[in-house]
Amino acid sequence: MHRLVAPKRAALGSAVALVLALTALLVAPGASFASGRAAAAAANTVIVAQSVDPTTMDPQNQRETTTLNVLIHLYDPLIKRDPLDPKTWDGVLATKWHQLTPTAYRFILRKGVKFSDGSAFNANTVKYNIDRIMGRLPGEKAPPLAAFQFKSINGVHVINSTTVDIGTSAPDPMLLARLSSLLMIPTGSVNTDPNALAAQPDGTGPYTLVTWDRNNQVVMKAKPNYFLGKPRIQNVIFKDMPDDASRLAALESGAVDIISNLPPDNAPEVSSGGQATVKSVPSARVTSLWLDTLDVPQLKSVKVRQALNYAVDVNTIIKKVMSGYALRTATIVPPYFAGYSSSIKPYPYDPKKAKQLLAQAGYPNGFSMTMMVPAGRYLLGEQIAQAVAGYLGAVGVNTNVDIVDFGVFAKDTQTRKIPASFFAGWGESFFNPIDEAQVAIQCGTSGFSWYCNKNVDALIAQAASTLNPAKEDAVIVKFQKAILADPPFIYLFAYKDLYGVSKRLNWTPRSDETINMYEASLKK
Amino acid sequence: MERYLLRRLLQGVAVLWLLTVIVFVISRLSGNPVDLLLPEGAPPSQRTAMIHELGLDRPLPVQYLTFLRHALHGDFGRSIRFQTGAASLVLSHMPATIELALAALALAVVIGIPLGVMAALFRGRFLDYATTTLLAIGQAVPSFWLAILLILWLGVDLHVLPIGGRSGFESLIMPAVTLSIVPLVTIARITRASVSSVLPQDYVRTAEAKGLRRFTVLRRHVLRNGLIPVVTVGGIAMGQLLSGAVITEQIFTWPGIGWLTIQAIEARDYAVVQAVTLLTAAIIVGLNLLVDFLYFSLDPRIRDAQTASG
Repeated sequence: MHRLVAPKRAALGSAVALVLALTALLVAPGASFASGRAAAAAANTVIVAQSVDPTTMDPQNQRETTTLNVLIHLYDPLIKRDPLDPKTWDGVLATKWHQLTPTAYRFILRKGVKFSDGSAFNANTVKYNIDRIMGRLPGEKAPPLAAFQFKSINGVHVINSTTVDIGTSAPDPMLLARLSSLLMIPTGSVNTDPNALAAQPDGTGPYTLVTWDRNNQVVMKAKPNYFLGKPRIQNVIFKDMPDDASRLAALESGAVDIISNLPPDNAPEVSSGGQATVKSVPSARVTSLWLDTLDVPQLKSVKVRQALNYAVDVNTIIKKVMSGYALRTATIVPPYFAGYSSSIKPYPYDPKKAKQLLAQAGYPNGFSMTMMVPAGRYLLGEQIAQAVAGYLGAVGVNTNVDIVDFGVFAKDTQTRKIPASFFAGWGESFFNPIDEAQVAIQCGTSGFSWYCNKNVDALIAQAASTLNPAKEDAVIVKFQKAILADPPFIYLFAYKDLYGVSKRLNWTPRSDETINMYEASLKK
Repeated sequence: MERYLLRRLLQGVAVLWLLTVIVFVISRLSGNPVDLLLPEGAPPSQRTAMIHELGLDRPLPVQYLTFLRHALHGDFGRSIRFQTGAASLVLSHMPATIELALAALALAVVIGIPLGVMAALFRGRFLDYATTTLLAIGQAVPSFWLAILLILWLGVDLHVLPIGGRSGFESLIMPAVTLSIVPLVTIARITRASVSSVLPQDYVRTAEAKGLRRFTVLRRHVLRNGLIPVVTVGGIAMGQLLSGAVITEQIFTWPGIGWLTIQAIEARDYAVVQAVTLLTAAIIVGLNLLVDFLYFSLDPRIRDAQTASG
């Protein structure tokens, strides 16, 4: 959640005197202050501030990055994305893996790994986890919030205690990406109570839970015998700090070491404060304006949709609204995604051309439409939508920006009752545009799509079943050309995530929005 | 007196029942938790299945009666977002809110009453003007602004107090000060007005005339009569404080029920919204009854009037 009001210290001025007087009056009697400097300064403890508390400690029944960030310290997947190169994989609970057939992978598991409760991790554990997300455990349904991500998996076979085969119903180039988000729970852990892990985590990860004080903090300590090596940071604390201004103040005072979702206009303040630095990383979240090309007569016209793409000066929006912290994308594919090609160029800003196209489409005087944007959900979403609406208005498309609560936005999109367009940012944890395309571009009344083009569908289907990465990339390039010519969206940009990071910490942010302190260390 | 209190008690129950209806209807008007929980790519069949599993596809009156029946047995259902019992979730956030509310009210009373009495005693003179000016400013300062000033000054610049969280006495100071301002101003103003109206009374002059010491007059005759309205105001303030200081809790990351309520509303977590509303309403109704009772014991005139008429 992002809120956009932040305090300006310059505004303090004369008011300080009053507050001083009031406060001295109020707190003076009998109050003795020890140092209020919080525990962050304590040696070997790192504090991360996030805007919300984790929802659960069950890694297979959650879908928020803020929750996942805590859980990756407690649990491990079979494999994970390399922090520096998102296209390659590192082994975690698996040491080796290879493709057996187009629809099966074999994984060789690490030996001697134990969960916090002492039980062993082996091939049967993998089977138990796959069975759970497939809804095959007796008497338990598949956990609803995450299970659908693994829908391509159709079976698991234990070969021996350290070898396991995982099969899919059709060739799935995203299988490894899917499995990297499956954090392993111990065999039998949800047999008697499906909610057993919700408050009491039990994983193989580098840390164990010390306390979870809801809406306050999660305290974790390092496992000295972690199989990839003892964590360099002894204690990791995730604090729940809903207010942007408080998070910023906490960072500047040294009370916390990392804050995420730093608003771009606060970046200079962090840099000049002396305690922390600003780190940015291109994000896997790509923003676009969805257009209802199925029901709105004007938007059915390809020329109108091309005109709208010509009408918006995205580079100026990046410069002015995003303070430069964003990456223009031609379609929905930033450079670090599968299928990126520099040969695919974004629509240039050309309002004359936009007006011509509108006139050719039969709308020389433009038309009016409404654009929905959820409040506080996407960083600067309201401002971006307003800026786009301004550019559209300039070519005669009067756009009314309707800012709604995210609950209303979710309801309207899920029940398919959207106005002509809406703004959203799609976070793509698989680093592959086909995942978004299957939901938001492919024809059909299901999902998030208000677009239908059989030629594009054929390319999506082809990419989704091409296992050779080079060949898949080539298909995705063709797909991009098709959706550039017949656009379902007004294309905008990929966010850059901004973090405020204490100077005492060595840590590089990742494109997938996760914050993993096992990868960090403290400066000596 | 018993009949009067009994009537008030029944009124309280009626208020709570009416509230269950209102909360139930309003929370269901603006979307449902399933849309917020499920990712964009979830198939519609899964949405339907989850709605069915949570019983949200049944007619509203049926859902309401089920909720009411369970609530009467103390079962407020499960939080969809936090995957735990709603009642226990709310209760686990209650101590933090009570702690903060008591601290704020204590500050408000300990500082507000003497300020009000002082202003009344020096009415029309410099001390009175100084106090009332200060109070007017205090009333005008928005709490989120004061909170951020305190954080920047005491937390960031001077490093004497922790910026947020709930970790012992030090972390209580800034949120309690922030939260105390509004009730403090109200209590001080009511005290000033009330004491001012008592000071010229004949019985005060009589008490002074019979040679009682000034402090004794103040304590026994002025304050005893002048503080009755303050009790009402204090009771109402306590109710407001206990229903969770949403903004203050959020800025100071105070894990109380105000912050919980906001999260529950944003996630359309019906069970938690219902539990938190009913619980705080019950507390407020209870406090009002307590205030009524205190009135009786403080002021024989009210007692007699009510007993005669009721």
